[in-house]
Amino acid sequence: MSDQTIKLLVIDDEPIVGKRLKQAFMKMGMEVETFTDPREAMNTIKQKSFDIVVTDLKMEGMDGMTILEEVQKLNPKAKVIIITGYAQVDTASEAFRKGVFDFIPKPFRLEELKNVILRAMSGALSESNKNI
Amino acid sequence: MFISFAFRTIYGKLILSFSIICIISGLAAMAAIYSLYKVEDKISVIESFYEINQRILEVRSSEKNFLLYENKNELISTIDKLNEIKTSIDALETSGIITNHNIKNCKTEFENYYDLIHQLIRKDYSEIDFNNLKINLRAYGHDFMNCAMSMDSSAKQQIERESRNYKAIAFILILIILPICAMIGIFLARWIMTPLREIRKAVAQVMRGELSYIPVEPTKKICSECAELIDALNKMLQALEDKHQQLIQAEKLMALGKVTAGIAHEINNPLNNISLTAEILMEDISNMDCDERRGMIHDIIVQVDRAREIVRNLLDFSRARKPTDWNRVNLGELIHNTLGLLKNQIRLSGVETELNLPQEPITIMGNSSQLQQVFVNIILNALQAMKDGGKLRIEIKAVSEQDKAMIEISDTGPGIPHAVMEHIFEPFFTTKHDGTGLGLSVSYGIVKEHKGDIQVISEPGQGTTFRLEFPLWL
Repeated sequence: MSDQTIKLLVIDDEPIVGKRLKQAFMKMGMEVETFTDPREAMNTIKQKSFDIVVTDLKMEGMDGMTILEEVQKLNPKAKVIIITGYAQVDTASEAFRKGVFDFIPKPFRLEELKNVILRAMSGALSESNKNI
Repeated sequence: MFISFAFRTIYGKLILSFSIICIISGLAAMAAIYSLYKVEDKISVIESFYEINQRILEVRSSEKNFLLYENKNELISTIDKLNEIKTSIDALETSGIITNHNIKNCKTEFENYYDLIHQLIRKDYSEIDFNNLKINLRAYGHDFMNCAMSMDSSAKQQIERESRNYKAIAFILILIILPICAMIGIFLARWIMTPLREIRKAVAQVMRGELSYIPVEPTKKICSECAELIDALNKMLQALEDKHQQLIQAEKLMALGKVTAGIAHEINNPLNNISLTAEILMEDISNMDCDERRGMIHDIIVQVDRAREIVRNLLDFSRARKPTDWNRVNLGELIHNTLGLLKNQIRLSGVETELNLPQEPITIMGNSSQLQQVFVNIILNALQAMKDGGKLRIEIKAVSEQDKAMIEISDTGPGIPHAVMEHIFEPFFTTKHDGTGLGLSVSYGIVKEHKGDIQVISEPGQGTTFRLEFPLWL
């Protein structure tokens, strides 16, 4: 991590989610990329590493759980946050078992997501500091 | 009063018929008894004739002895026998069995003979007279015997004639009674069978769905028990119909339960969009230009519409419509709403959907809520069959030659095994752990109520197609 800019990837088939999160987190100085098609997002993940991935769970084409697994395979340091309208106890526990950073049911307050992302950021930063 | 009772009830008809048969048989028996009495009378007449003849022969033999030996004791011994003969003849005369003319003749002959014998016994005659009297005695005796014999034979003839009459009467009675009994039998069978046959016909019509109730009118006038039976059957039909509607409603609540969970999640998406947009708008409102603000407010309105649409779909489905509430139903629209209702389930199962609707709307007559229940059941089954993804194809078309609307709902799942196929519409038959086995049986009932038909085309490994047909509303 040459510069301390946090790279954030948002995958959600609801375009408004991507649009608003981009607006909010760009303002916080992050580099934000958004996708509504999870398969396109996967292609990008393969070429480029992100610090934090925020993904929806149920999407056409690819499941958020698959994205979680793939991201952990490609970049184990990346933190994955799942946001979903179909929050159920068993899917949440499955996600935690697979190593999700946090699991946020929709509808959520922006503040909530910001806090989680800040926690993820500090984790990412401390890890990179340790490396220095 | 009794007549109308007799003709309106099976009970009355039976009583009436049996009374008629009893009266006729009673009359026949009385006629037979009367004939027997008559025959007995005749037999006694024949017996008394036999006795008279016997006595006459005895008197004549005494007369012969007197003429040969002139022994008066012989004549005296005849007096008693002659008296007996007289009583018998008098008895015959009063009994009236023999025609009077003959008896009168014989009585005069008898008086002559009797007087002569008395004269001879009293001896108040001369020698010449005695010889004349003797000649007369033979002649009178002979005449009297002839007369008695002719009376006997004519009586026998009369008796034979009369007994022939009795035979004829018996035959006539049989000839009259047999057709009357046969007619009563035929009428009775028809009276009882006709209304029962009507009821059977109506029940068959009810089962085919051509009638909803058994009409009382045609049988009411001729069979009040049948009217009561029909009334009871109709009450039973009503109770069955009520139960059927309750079952449909209960099954619908279960379908609604499955759908509602999905809908609740589905609403989270527009809510989340609204919440995010509103928060950003609030934070950044001072940094935005008018168009940006307007764009975000527009987003909020669109998302509210989307949530409203989801809720409306659910409410449409959950609304308890009266089963009798039939309207024109646009099948394309109904399928579209149903897919909206099941959007979440479809998305969760990762199934692709293909919808083929014709340009012009296809309408049928029916209860849209119950029809939607059928589509929800079939589509949910299809989704469950495609747990690992697949394609849900829905096609609606009008088969105008048959005036029918056809809806095909196909999945690319594993298909239905042959052993399961024949049971899928049976109530409480299920292959799922959490199934009740009511979905398809209730759907079948609803389709039949809409005068439609439901067919399943499935081969193991080839997917399943449900083909529904309804009469078109033109």
